[in-house]
Amino acid sequence: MKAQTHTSITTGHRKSDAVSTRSLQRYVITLSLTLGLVVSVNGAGTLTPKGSPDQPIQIRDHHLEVTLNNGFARSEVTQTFFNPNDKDLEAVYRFPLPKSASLSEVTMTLGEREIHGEVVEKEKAKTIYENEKYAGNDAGLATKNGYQSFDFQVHPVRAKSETRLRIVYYQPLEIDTGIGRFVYPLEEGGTDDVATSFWNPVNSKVEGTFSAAFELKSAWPVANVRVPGFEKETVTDKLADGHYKVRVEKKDHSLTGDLVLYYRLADDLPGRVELIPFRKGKSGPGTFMMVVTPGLDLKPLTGGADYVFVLDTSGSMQTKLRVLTDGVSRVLGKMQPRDRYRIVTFSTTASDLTNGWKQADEANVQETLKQIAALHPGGSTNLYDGLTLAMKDLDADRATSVILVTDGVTNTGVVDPVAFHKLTKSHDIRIFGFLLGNSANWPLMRTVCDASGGFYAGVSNADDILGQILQAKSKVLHECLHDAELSITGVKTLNTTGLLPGKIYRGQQLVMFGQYEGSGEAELVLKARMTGEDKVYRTKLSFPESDEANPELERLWAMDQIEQFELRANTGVLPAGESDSAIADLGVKYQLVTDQTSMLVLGDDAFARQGIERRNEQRVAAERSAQVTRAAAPQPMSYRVDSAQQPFTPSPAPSHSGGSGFSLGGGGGALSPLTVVSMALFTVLALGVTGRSKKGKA
Amino acid sequence: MQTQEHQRTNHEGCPPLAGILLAVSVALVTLGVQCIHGLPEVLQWKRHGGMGWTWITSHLSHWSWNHLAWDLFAFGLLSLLCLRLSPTRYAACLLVAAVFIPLEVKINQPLIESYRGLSGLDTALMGLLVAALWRHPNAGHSCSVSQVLAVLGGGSFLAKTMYELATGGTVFVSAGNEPFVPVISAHFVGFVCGFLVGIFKSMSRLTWNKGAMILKASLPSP
Repeated sequence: MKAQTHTSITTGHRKSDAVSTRSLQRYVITLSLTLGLVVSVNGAGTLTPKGSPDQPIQIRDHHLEVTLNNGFARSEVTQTFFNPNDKDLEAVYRFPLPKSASLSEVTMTLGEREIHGEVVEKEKAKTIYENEKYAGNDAGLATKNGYQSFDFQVHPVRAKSETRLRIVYYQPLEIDTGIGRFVYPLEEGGTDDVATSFWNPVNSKVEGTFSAAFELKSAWPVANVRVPGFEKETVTDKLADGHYKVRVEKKDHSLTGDLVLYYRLADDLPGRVELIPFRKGKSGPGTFMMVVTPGLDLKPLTGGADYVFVLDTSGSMQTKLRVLTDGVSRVLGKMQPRDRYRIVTFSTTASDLTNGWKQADEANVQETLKQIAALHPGGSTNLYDGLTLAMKDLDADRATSVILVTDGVTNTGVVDPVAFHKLTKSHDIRIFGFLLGNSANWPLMRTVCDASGGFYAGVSNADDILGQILQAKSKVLHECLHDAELSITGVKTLNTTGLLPGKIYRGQQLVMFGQYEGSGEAELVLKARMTGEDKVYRTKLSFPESDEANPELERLWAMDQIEQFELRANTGVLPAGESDSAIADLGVKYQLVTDQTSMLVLGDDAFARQGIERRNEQRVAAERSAQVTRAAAPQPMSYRVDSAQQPFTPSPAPSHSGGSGFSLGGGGGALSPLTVVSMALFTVLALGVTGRSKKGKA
Repeated sequence: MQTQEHQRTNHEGCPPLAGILLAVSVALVTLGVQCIHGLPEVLQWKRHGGMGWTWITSHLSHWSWNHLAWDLFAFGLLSLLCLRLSPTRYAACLLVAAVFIPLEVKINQPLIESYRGLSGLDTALMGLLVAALWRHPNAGHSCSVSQVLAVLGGGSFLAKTMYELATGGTVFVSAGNEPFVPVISAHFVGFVCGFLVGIFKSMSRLTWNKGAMILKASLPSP
């Protein structure tokens, strides 16, 4: 057996104290927010453990290929690594976990040999990987590291040789107020203290080409597509109203920031219901994804309300605090004088920055803005204390919203999700969570926000951050549908999620998954209350006997089920052991990497030797066949089930520029002190010149 | 060779009273508006449901005292010199810019729901000042000091603004602690309005005076 040195390739932690020059190219608002910001960037790249004498693994190239179609995205990442050392290494590659992503394929190319992955129980996978490794065989292992990342172990990376790693994952797409958003996460969230203490600074440079190719196929016309921060490197081809190809290519790129693709649907599109089914043959249940885009005339809230801003100022917020304060400043500035607000900050402990409620008049807002601007990060994260303090002194006669901004890594005080759930349920409030960075604890945030009837949104540093916050703000400051409940009759549905949204906010799209038995006509009914009145919306839909166009839906449905099990365990509804067992079963059956399952990458002979069934091989074959068929289709498929004559909801869906949704709010000319001083200098010079000439004339 | 306006200014030695009254009125009203709670909100330009007169009054309302202070300081300085060099065009400059700036916001800034601020008018006065320097009596020479100053000042301002428009960000100002979004294009439109008011009037005088030297002095080189 060969002696092996353990060296790793992973997303890393690169500390750079330079102002991000790339931010200068971003969209107007993001730029104005980030100018002057001292950025410390943690990015993807290669790492070696501290104290290791080995040279860092080089990244030869990094390619991303994304297809956005039929309500979900397929992302394929291919990276080539080079081991410059004179000995073989075991490598670990880590990248941030995209939210709700189902990792479905891992392929390694070692020399001429290509080996593929199969999902098995986590402990079993680890044992087999270790055995194969010590036997000197080619092997790989992909594991999920909680909500923070995927880890890939590759053995061996030969001396002076290249190794190629290809991964594929799927995730559902959501459109908010007419804006679709896809995030390719590269920036590590800076919340993994153990990793920070273990690894050397990252080598994040791509020696060759970094490229990303997006293909967007939408049944609805797309008005615009853009990749903020990569304007110069982006080539966009519009093939049809709803069909775009976008390519980003860059040499000497560093994997230090996320890649965000925005696409804006045309204005005044109707509210609609889309049903995407999958059923192989007539036996067994079918799977469906249903997307409801409500078109409802939700009015601005005119009565005074109370808002508590709960702001994370812990040490892990180092790179995000400025974003946080800017966002809060914007929202504060848009409040009405009848509103009241409090600012609660928390790190190791929580404190009330405003010392109680403040009326949202200009003097108070200005004073508070100064206090917010003076916040500094430090300490650990005691979210529970922050929320507990936020829920004190509530006025039962006024609606209270809690706006929670955090990177979501709770590590001090009460950390049990069940306790958070109880705390939230004990008060009549709505919690709106904003999660900054890629390593945020979104399962916990979901637990808290769902329990209160609020919502949560992730925010990347590469986002149009102000746009994201204002988009969410438009939801907070408008009325919503209450007690919303969807039901499907006529065809038996089972294992559904998302049918009881409770509240539906302005611009919000509902994405639901489920299974169905039988086939034929069914009716979808949405019952809700709006401004005190009961509302009922109906439409007809049809579940097919057979439809094999989108086999990936089974994995997406299974991942949604897994998240539901996690949520139920987090809220104490289901014992953790039962949840883990159910997740493991789903992970193996549908070939998904979860906290209970891992993907083992071996040669065909090794799989046969270990007696592992090739389930993933079969799934991947079916998925690739469907993808080829879909790619050959000239037009994107429309899955709308309601009709233009009888739409599900009465109004157009809110859109970005339709005046009924997202806007940047108030604007104004802004002269900075430096601009005014320059003008003053110019005026004095002009006065001198013209005065002198007058004297000359005299 | 001088225009009639410069001759009159130089002869009178002080700007016309009407111009001074206008400048002082704008300054006092702007201050007053800010002092009355809720009035800036009434006077701001609004995309939806706003009254027509808010196209003018929006310039007199501000988002904060800090926003107002710098805008008003610049307004005072630039008014001082514009009233000295180009008094008859001062009011026209303010009026044209006051109309065109909200129009630009309405057409080209669909995400901006409301607008406030005097700074658009400040940049209009900057444009007027640059035009006035270009037309200054010494401008009859091949390259006068005032022309050089006009090119430097106007060029710097335009370079800054064009950079901001191209990149989408502001060079100096970050409105992170202000409750509004900086509208860079308003500055550009204001400057262009001010400059054109100054230059075009000279052009029209060209036809009256039929003086080739005035043409040379009034129009920027291509």
